Amino acid sequence: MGKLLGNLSVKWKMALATSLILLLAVAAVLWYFPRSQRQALESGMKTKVNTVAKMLSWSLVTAVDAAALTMDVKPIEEIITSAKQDKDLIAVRVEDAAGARLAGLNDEEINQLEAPKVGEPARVFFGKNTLNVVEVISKEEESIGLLRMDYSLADFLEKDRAAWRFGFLFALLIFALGSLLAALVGYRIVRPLAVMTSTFKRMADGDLSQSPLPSTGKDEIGSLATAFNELQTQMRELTSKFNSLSTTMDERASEILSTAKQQEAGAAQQAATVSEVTATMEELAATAQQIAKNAEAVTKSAEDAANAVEDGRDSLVTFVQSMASIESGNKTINDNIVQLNRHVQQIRGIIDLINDIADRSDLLALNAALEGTKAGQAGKGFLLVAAEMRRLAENVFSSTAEIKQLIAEVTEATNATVMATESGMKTTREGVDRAGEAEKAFGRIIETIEETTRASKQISLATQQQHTGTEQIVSAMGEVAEVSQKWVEGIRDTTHSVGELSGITSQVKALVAKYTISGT
Amino acid sequence: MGKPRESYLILFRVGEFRLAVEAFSIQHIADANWAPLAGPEDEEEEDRVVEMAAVLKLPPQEGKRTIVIDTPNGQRGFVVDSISNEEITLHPIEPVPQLLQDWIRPTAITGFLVEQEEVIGVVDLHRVDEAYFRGSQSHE
Amino acid sequence: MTDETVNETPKSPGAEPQRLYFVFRDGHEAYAVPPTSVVEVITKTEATPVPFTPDWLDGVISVRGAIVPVLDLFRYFRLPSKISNRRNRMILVGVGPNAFAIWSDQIVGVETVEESRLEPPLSNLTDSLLKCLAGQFRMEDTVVYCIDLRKLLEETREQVKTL
Repeated sequence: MGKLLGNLSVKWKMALATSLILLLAVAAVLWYFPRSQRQALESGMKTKVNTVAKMLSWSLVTAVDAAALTMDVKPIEEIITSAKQDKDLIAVRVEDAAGARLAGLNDEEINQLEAPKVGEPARVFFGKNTLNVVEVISKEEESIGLLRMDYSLADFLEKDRAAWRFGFLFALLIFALGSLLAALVGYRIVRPLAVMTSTFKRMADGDLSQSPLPSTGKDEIGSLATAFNELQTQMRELTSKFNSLSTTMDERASEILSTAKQQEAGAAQQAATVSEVTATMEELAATAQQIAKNAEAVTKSAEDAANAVEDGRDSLVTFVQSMASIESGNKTINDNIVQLNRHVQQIRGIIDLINDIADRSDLLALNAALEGTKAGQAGKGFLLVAAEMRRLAENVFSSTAEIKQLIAEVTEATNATVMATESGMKTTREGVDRAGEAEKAFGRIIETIEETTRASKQISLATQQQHTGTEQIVSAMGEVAEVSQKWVEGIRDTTHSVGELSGITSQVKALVAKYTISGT
Repeated sequence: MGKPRESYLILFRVGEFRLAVEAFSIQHIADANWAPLAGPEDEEEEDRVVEMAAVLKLPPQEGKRTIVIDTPNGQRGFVVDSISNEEITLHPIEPVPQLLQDWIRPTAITGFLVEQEEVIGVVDLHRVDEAYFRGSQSHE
Repeated sequence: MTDETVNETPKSPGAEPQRLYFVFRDGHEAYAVPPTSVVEVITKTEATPVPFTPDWLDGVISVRGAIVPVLDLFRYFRLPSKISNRRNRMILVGVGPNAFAIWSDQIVGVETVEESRLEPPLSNLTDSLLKCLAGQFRMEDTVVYCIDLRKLLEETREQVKTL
């Protein structure tokens, strides 16, 4: 029963409640109104008959007294007749002190009430259809007779019934009006709620393109409409930002992918050319031990870097994932900040590694140029290319410095996060922007590496044109070839990581596709 | 005086000094953590690494590069602050005036590179090695 | 070739022999050298330091491509007063085939000094100054030290040998 009531529409609930109240009111009216009418009537009648009885008894004093002497009842009959002008009076009798009838009208069945004492008021009794009265006729404090009267209550009863009828109609009217009013009010409340419910349903299903609800004022309904409109606006913003983020990430991923593929092809080609040249110069001995040692160290670091760059990519991917989960509210903001800081630490470590490699490359180029000066004419081309490599190492340093700066900014932004959702969203958007910039810087590093391998190719071309070379050049060449080989492997790994990045982007896109925004 | 001789120079910094060394006279350039391949058995490895700042009587600097030369006793590395980022090119070297030569001890400056308002001394690290680390005084 | 005797003015019969001196200041001290030794006065405030040199050698400057060492007399003579902080001139001097520069913060000019004006050096001067002094004279309240440049160079060479 309770469940049934619960599922009833609000307007019926209101109607039910109102009806109950009205019924109570009606009952009260019905109880009170006719009853008070009757009482009024009764007391009215009582007063009237008392007065009449009193008057008659006084007027009858002389007549009754005389009749006791003369046996003449005519005066009494006259008085009775005049009293009988009252339509309601149906029977009258006058008795003497002994209770014998003196005169009367229609008094065959008149009441036989017990007479009151002298000085007491008339005795009045409400019968079923008649009102019975008995009054003492007294002279000088002594009872000389009795006056009996019977009044018809037909009129009285008729009035009573009329009062009941009126009361009933009145109650019905109240009931009808009240119910109508309740239904109207309920309708006015229920209809906007029903509209809003369906609007909310559509929003939950993904339709964010609905026109804003009209605000019907400052009451609860109006506030609800306003709140809904705000929510829809926020959700639109959020979803469109999500869309553009995933689009940007997609574009970036495909850019890097195609660039990496080109680099792979070019680097592989160049590696092959370098090994050809090295083979033809095999007869020259290699003695530059120190260069070899440095080159070995660079190779090792490049291997570490290949792994580290992959980790860096993973960190960036996880970073973006953390961002996504902040947006979808799966984790608390604090958890994500802790994770974020961990990834930032990782990336910092990688930056340091990259800087170390750039430093070693710089040294390698420097020593190659040094050997070039000792080789005389043959080394001139070497010098130019080595200078180029050193400039490129400088570029790497400035890129990593940039990334370090960006990371510092991200850390600062996330550490200053306030718990309110709005601030959290803003920080997340900033963080995502910074991640994009960090990716750009990574991209520049990859470009620099590409240029470095091009430089190595030029070294090989320059030496091809020479007829003589020194042992050191050959040795250095061999080491450079090894280094560029490692770069090729590194680029392959980068391609792999970027493929993963694209996969993540697709997932994000699918998530967002559920929502439609007007105009996008 | 004829045309000044030309040489490939590597420019470096130690504290306030900007100096140069001739490319043919050094073996190679390493980072600050350089250690020699092999040395005489009676010497500690640390002795083969020399802080140029100490040689020039400066307070210790943050050296990032080591210039390595080949000596009769094995390799010796001189730690300097940094190598300049210019290309290694030919520079004309002015000889040291006689009077100034009388005032330089040890005679480890073999010439000067004149650059606008700066005069950069060209250092002979082998002479420095002889003077400071092999117990013999360098005479004119 | 410079010759110190050239700073003597031609003697008129019966007149006192006179000498010409180029006078300049460096801080609290004033110095005088034969004008024929002075090649030129240049405006410079800095010299490039050279390693492996004594502390009184401030460094070198480039004058029309030539390399000239800069001598700090205040440091060489180990004078007890305070070093000048207004040095803005260098006196470029030549002694035989050698050229070097001396700091100065004020050029006084060429002064004619009679023999009788020359005094013997005071005994409270530092050792290194005493060894190079050719005499001294007064201008107004200031004592001017006449420097024997040739002796100065000899002394510097000796000092370096003992370092």
